[in-house]
Amino acid sequence: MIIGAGPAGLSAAVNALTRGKTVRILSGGDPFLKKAERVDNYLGLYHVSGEELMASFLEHVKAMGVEPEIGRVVNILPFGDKFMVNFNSEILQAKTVILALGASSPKPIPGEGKLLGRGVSYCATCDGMLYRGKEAVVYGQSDGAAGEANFLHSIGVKVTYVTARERPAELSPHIPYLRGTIAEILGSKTVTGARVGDRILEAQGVFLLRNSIAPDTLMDGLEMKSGFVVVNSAMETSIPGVFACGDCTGKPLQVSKAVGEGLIAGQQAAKHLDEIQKEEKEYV
Amino acid sequence: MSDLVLHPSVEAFDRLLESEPLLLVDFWATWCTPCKMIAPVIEQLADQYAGKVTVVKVDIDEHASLADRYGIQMIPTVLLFHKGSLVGRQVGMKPAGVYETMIEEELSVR
Ligand SMILES: Cc1cc2nc3c(=O)[nH]c(=O)nc-3n(C[C@H](O)[C@H](O)[C@H](O)COP(=O)(O)OP(=O)(O)OC[C@H]3O[C@@H](n4cnc5c(N)ncnc54)[C@H](O)[C@@H]3O)c2cc1C
Repeated sequence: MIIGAGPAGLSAAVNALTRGKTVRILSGGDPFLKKAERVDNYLGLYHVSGEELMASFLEHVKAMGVEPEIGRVVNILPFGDKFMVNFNSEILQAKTVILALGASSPKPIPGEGKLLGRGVSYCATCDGMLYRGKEAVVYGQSDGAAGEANFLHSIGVKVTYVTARERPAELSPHIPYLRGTIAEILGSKTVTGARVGDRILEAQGVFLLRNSIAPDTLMDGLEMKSGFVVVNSAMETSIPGVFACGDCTGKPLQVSKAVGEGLIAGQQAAKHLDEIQKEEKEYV
Repeated sequence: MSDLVLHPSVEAFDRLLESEPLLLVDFWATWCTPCKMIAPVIEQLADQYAGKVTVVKVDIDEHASLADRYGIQMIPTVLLFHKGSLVGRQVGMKPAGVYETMIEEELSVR
């Protein structure tokens, strides 16, 4: 199971597929590279736009029979020698996981860490019901955020939608909207509100809906250093059976490095699967 | 499903709280995906610590009063009680090892 369809994830997919493995790719919307106007340092393709490069990577994977599935992974849990992956509120099972999440690690908001699980949540469908009849602020920084706010509203949460962008068209007209950024989440033991500029919004819950989730929030116990996933030269993370590649493992944040690491992660994950299979046979 | 995991009423919960040396409580709800993910983990713990730890699940929609009593702000939340007093709390979905450590620590001091 590969999380992320940027250059690293797609390269990992190609290399696991070449080794005869079954691959699924789960990913949020447009990868980073699409924004690059011109990429001049990818070998063999001088003067190519990020968009073209990304499109040809995607074509390659599709030609091999795999299409990335669009959505958000909110948590991954090891269980025995398998992994359960929460993808769009559906539980998928995997034998190995490759994290190719990119580097857009969110900068935490003051109060966020302290109040996580005490009113701060990253997932409306996970924790929404706890706030029925209560007030909650939804901080929309991701594409699906308005939909999640509508969900909260529909189950009876009193939602205020805060975003630095324009009011999303799909946001329910019953939900008040405030343009701005959350400067601080307030509360000592549990959330009491959020500060937006010099306004205080009273709330018992604050939902931070970003496109990216810190890797160690995604997966409890994953070793990190300065915001990046720690890996060895085989792209193994601190959790057996979990590999990482690309921008999420550290600098340089470049396509060639992402593709190269994706190759290693894909091959190592394939090798890991072969080893598990061998063990299973030995048990029989 | 493990037969060892109990789904008590509030009254039965209070009785277990008094009577059981170690009681592990998993607060969950039917609509919560991470809760479903840890369900097999909780069942495995019930089997693994059979006779040492009593394992119960509390549906916070059915028993809102219990969720309120323990200030449950996020589910899953797993609490560990020793003869009625709270000795461990894990908020959010955790791998099996985290719950095992919490239980082992309690077992080692008893
Ligand atoms: C403007 C710009 C210019 C650039 N110019 C160059 C250049 O000239 N040369 C060069 O080499 N590099 C350049 N880069 C850098 C390059 O884009 C990155 O190094 C490369 O994209 C990293 O690939 P990646 O696969 O590791 O991550 P990404 O491309 O960031 O892909 C990560 C993917 O993971 C998905 N994802 C993350 N979290 C989750 C989750 N929880 N659930 C589901 N999906 C998730 C994201 O949606 C995304 O699709 C540039 C970048 C930018 C923005």
